[in-house]
Order: sequence, then structure tokens, then C-alpha cells
Amino acid sequence: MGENQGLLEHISPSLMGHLLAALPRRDPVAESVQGSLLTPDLIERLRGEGFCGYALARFSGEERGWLAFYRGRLLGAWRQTTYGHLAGTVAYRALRREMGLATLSLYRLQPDDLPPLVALTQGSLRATWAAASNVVTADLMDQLSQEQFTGALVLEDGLVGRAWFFFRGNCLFDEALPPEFHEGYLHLVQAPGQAPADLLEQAQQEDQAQRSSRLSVVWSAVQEVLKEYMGRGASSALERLREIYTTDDPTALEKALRQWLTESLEPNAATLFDRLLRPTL
Amino acid sequence: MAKSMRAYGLLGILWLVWLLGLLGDSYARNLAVSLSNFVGAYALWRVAALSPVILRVALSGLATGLVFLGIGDLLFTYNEATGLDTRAIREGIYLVGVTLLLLMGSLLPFRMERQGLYPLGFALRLALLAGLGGVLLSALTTLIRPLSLVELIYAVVAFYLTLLFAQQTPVLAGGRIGRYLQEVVWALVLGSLARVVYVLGGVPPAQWSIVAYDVLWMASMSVLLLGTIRAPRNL
Repeated sequence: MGENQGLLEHISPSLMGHLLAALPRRDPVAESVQGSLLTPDLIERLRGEGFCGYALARFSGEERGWLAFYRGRLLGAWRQTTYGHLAGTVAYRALRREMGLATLSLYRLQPDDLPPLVALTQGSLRATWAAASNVVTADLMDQLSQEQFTGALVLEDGLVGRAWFFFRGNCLFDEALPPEFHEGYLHLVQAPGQAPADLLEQAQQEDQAQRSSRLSVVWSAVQEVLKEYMGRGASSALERLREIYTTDDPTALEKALRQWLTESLEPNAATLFDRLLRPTL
Repeated sequence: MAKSMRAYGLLGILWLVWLLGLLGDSYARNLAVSLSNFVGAYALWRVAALSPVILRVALSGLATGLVFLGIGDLLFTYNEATGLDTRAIREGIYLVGVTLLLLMGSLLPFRMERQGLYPLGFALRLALLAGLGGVLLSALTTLIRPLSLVELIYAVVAFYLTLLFAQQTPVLAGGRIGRYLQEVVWALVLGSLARVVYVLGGVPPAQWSIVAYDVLWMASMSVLLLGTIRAPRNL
């Protein structure tokens, strides 16, 4: 695991879900609406408006999902699953796919509130499993204030837990630390020094890379079929076909080429093409 | 396979009939050559049925053209056997056959180009080169012996088709389409040689040229039949 995984590998998914569900809800944009409303259009709108805040999705079985927006950029995504959790673009894709099954709430926050929140899933770990009873709250506060700490402090005692968020040494959301901790363990994560990559852009780049890779697989399969039928003329035929079929949608290209192979060569050519594309068939 | 074997048996009988006709100086020789055209047409249809879609129309068209040549040859045989002049009708049928061969043979590269198997402009380049070569070779042939207009047309078409298909051989080498066409190319080469031999034979044709023409033409049909066995089977 890399350094900037926040508490993903240190606290349970249910505790993470509990902490995210307990985030401040002072400025709701939408509450408990149908998850299917989180369309690509809405995401584009949030992006365009420079939205700061988070979206919380509730699935059946107390599973949760979370998206954090900072000035329109998607900096965090997290999805609780039955036996674990997903983060980053994988979580974002899972949420987009399954949002229809969830209820969605959207809350606005101040831009300065976001870095400590993002620290939960992408911060660097400063301390973990520190016995809470040994920590002197006043000393801890002094230290965090002195170093102008930005991040999150999480108290874990069994499944119940609590989080306090700091921006430049100040406690956010009017939630001060208790005078002393009696039990449990403390985790301290610091917000990433640089803003994490925009997950939306990253997802788009991944989509593009996946499309390119699939397109290259499709063209390779056609090249093999052409070699079988055209022999030495396969490369010039491939070049010509690339000029004719210019789509960058792999599914549409696959369909068009399969039809072309059937109509220009024979159904067996299309079968060979399918076998090359899916060797397990 | 059984059908091909039967066709081979028939072709064997035709070769035998041709030999007996040659020895006995009878019209049986012409009959054998005439019927061999139908065996060639059958072979082309068989290969067309087995081959990729792109070749089917062209190969079937060539087969149909051969049928017309066969009918023309049969009329010639009838002429020889009965003394009844069939020249006028025969020439018309030959011309239809040759036109079909010309059009269907030319169709192939253009169809390949339209479907994206050849680069743009490639078919036209092939056709122009083949046309030019056909005219040049026919002009050279005319130097040997002046040809009538009809004979000139036959020569141009034979040379044109041979050059057109031969130019495609290197592009298609190593592929299934090339394997379907290789016997057609050989048959066209033999057919063209037969035309040259026919011209060299003079008027009236010398006995050696008649024999050589028959052998080349029937060999051409035999090669087409060989194609039905050598054609690649389904993947």
C-alpha cells in the first residue's frame, strides 16, 4: 500500500462509513433523493459550478458510498462493500454503476473543510493505534496548533468511532476535543501536501487508455484474419480498413468489422475474428 | 470430393476421346475440347461456392463466360461434323462469352478495392497496366500474323485477363484468397499461350498448332478442375 492511503488500511470499512455518515450536514443541497439523480450531467454541473462538498450514498445493508468535491474537482471516492471497500476511480465507477440502488445526499462545505476530510482516504498516516487513555488532550492540541496541522484525528473504540477535523491547527465544525480520552485508540492522518489528482479526469484518462487498448486488440485481431485471407496484402488492406472505419468506440468498431468480415469474406472469418478477440470462447 | 472425382473421371474420358479423335482425325477431338469448357465452368462454380464472398460473383461470371465459349465450340464441332455453317451464330456466342470473361474478370480487383481489401486506386492501376499490356502483346502478335478484328479482340481479352490476375498474385500470396485464385491464374496463362499458338499456326492452322492449342486449352480446364481439390477448406 502506498503512503497516501489515509486510514483505508487501518480502520474497518464500517467505521469509515460511520465517520463519513457523521460528517456535518449544515448546508444540504439535496437530502435522501434517488441515487439515479447523480447523472454524468449533474457531475458536470457540480464541476462547472466549482462545487465544494460531499455526496453521501446509502445502500441497503448499511453500506455507504462517498464522493468529495473540491472546487468542482472530485478528490475522493469511497465505496463500502460487503467484505471491504473500494477507493479512487474504482470506487467512483462502482458508485456511478450502482447509484440507482442508493439514496443520495449532497452537502456543501467551505473549501478549507475539504483537505482534512480527504485525509481520511488519501492522507499520510502520522500515528495509529495509539492508546487514547495515554494521550493528554491539551498537549495534543498544543502540538497540532503549533505545527498548524491539517488532517483528521480518529478515535476508535470497537465499531463506534469519532473524528475531529483540523485546518491549520484549528478544529473544524465547532467540535472541540474532549478534555480527556478514557478508552479506545487514536489515529492521526495528515492531509496530502498537494491536492490529489482529479478522479474524474483520471477516470476519463483510464477510459481513454482502456478504449485505445481495446481498439488495438480489435485491430490486431482483424490483422490476423487479413493475414489468413490476404497474405502479403494484409498490411495494405488493414491500412485501408483503418481509413474506412475511423470510430474510436471499440464496441461499434468490433460490430462493424464483424459485419464486414461476414459480408466481404465469409462467416468463418468473423468466427476467427471472435476467437482471436476472446480466446476463451 | 466425390463430385470432384467424378469430374476428374469425366475429364480423363475427354482427354481419351480427344486422343482417339486426334488419331482418327475425327470431330471427336473438337467435341472433347468443347466439353472440357463445361468441366472448367463446373470447376469455377465449385471454387466460387467454396470461396470467400468477395470472389463468388467474379468466379461465377468467369464460369458463365466459359459456358458460352463451350457452346460456341460445340457449334464449331457441329459445323465440322455436319458441314453446316454455324460461323455467324458461333461468333456472336463467342463474343458474349469473351465479354462476360472481360467484365467479370475486371470486376474482381474493383470489388476488392471497394470492400477495402486493396488500396485506393490500385484496381484502376492494375486494369490500366493490364489493358496496356494486352494491347501491346496483341500488337506484337499482329506482327506475326495479321489478325481479324474478332481475333484481335480475343487476343486482347486473353492477355488483359492474364496480366490482370497475374499482377494480383504477389499481393495475395500466402493468403486464402490467393490460393483460391492461383489455378485461375495458371488457367489464364495456359489460355493465353493457346491464343499465341493459334496465331503462330497460320491460316489455315497447321496441324501442330491445332494439337498444341487443344492440349493447352484442355490443360487450362484441367488446372481449373485441380483448383476444386486444392482450394482451401473452411477454417
